[in-house]
Amino acid sequence: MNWKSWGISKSPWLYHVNTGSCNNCDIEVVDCLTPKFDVERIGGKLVGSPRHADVLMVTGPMTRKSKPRFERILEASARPFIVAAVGTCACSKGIFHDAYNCVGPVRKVTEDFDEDIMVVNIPGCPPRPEAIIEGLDAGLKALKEVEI
Amino acid sequence: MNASSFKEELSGRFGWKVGKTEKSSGRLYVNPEPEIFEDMVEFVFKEHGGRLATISCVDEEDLFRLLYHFSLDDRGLMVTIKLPVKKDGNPSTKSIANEIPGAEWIEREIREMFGVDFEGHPAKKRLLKADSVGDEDFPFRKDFDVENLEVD
Amino acid sequence: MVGGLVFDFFVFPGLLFTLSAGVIASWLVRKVSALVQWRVGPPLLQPAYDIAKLFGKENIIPEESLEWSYLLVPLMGPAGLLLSSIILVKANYPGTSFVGDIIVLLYLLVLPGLAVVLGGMSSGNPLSSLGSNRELKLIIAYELPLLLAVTAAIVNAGGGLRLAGFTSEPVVASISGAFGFIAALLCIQAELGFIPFDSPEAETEIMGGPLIEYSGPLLGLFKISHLMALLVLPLFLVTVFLGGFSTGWGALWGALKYVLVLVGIILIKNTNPRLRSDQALKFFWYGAAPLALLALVLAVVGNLAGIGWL
Repeated sequence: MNWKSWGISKSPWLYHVNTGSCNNCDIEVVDCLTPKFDVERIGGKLVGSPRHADVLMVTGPMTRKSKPRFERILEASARPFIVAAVGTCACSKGIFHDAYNCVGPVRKVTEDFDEDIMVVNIPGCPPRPEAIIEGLDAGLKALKEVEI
Repeated sequence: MNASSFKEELSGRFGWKVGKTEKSSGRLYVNPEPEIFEDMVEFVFKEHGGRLATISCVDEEDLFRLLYHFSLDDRGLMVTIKLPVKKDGNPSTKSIANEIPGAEWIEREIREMFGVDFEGHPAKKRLLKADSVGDEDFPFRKDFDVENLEVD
Repeated sequence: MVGGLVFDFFVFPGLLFTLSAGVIASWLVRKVSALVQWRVGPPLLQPAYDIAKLFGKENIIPEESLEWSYLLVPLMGPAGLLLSSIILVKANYPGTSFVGDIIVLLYLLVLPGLAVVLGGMSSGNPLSSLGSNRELKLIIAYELPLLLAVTAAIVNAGGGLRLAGFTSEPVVASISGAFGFIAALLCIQAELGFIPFDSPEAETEIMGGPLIEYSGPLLGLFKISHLMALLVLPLFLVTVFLGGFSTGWGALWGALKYVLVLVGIILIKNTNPRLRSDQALKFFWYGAAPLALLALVLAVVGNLAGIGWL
């Protein structure tokens, strides 16, 4: 684990991206910041700009129209960063598996863009805030094994 | 008994041209003759204060059926006017967007997804369809080929 | 001699002391805010982790930015605050201060806000220039009451322009001093960029404000500037209005005064909504500035007539 991955694992700044989701996962992501679930315990903070972000919390099954915008966000974010695919739609397209308009899942789009970006999958429809924080924590611990 | 009383009012105004109706609790489905369609829309919208809830379109094998859902809020009744549109070459019908501004975007979406043209519509542009789906590909038709669509 | 200067500049009261005290102050702000909101809050060294992480991130320079300004401006904030910290602590602890150092301090304290404004304007992003716009409006708003309040304190303490001259008797023990202290506290709240005066960094409105394009080490420098401001600005209030601190038990008493001012700022931060930029301008020019002017008038009257408690 080098200094960069240690840094992200100790202080993950979150940026929320919606690529066409039904908004349930977005509500649960915002719930993580409320006093009951409190992601600030692990150093998390919601930031307003992708350049400040360490973890991109992506929801939604990646519709065709949002794919170029998502790639622009991946370009704009400061390396190193990781991507957290929140919800079943982001992990595997979910019930939109055969839809013509969904070109996900998030992992496929990210790997086409750049193979070195780590993607953490947090399934659930929607995942509970406790599950989101646990998934985030597990992903940050896994950073100890890799050198970003 | 809202549906029955409204059906009486429709029959009183349009007579036999109201066509076949179906009733269930709080809902009334009407299949009018196509020539009185605009008059019926004006009757429900202007004279009875019906609010256009939405317009839906169903691809039945040999024709499209447009369903105009009007909500009569004071009576607690939802009136659905069904209009068949034949599928030959260029399916088209008259647009109601000039009288009911709320129908403008709904008709735009039906046009780009089904290919039903609305005559007299003020702004025939794309609304929601992704740019990579071509102008002549209509995703909501039953014969749309999902497998071979290119992924950009 | 040189060794003493190096010690002063880098260790105490220079870089090391300011940074460490800033980290503890920033943690205090986040922890007390968390406790007020019934949550747990971050661990003690979280601000240090944030800065360490930022120095490991990629440094992106936008194509449309003004490069020399974009790269040099983040240094302005820490530079100004470092010098201010040295002047302030030296005026308290060994008591060495020069005539006019309070004016120098007031000039140096404008630098961090100006750095944010210039940084936003040289980023080449319309949202960041909008944020700079708001920050500049806020600076114009709060500088006036701050200067009036500090002038009231100077008159109250006898008219000398030395920082060490305030430490004999706390200015706040008189009516004009109390009014001046309240006006200055609100100005400090705006200078730190805390709610209710944080319209420049409104996340839901302009996505991060003036610093939207900054990333990596340059953003780390801005965060360092914020940490240092959390030490310097309440210390400024303590020195000018509350009587400063000295050695021995006095240092403990001084630290307590500093913590009280900081907790006051945190509680105001957590119990108020955000003001729009025009509302903030009206608040400072029609609310805080008349209060500070009243304090100045009372101080002059008290000085001329010899009344102590005015």
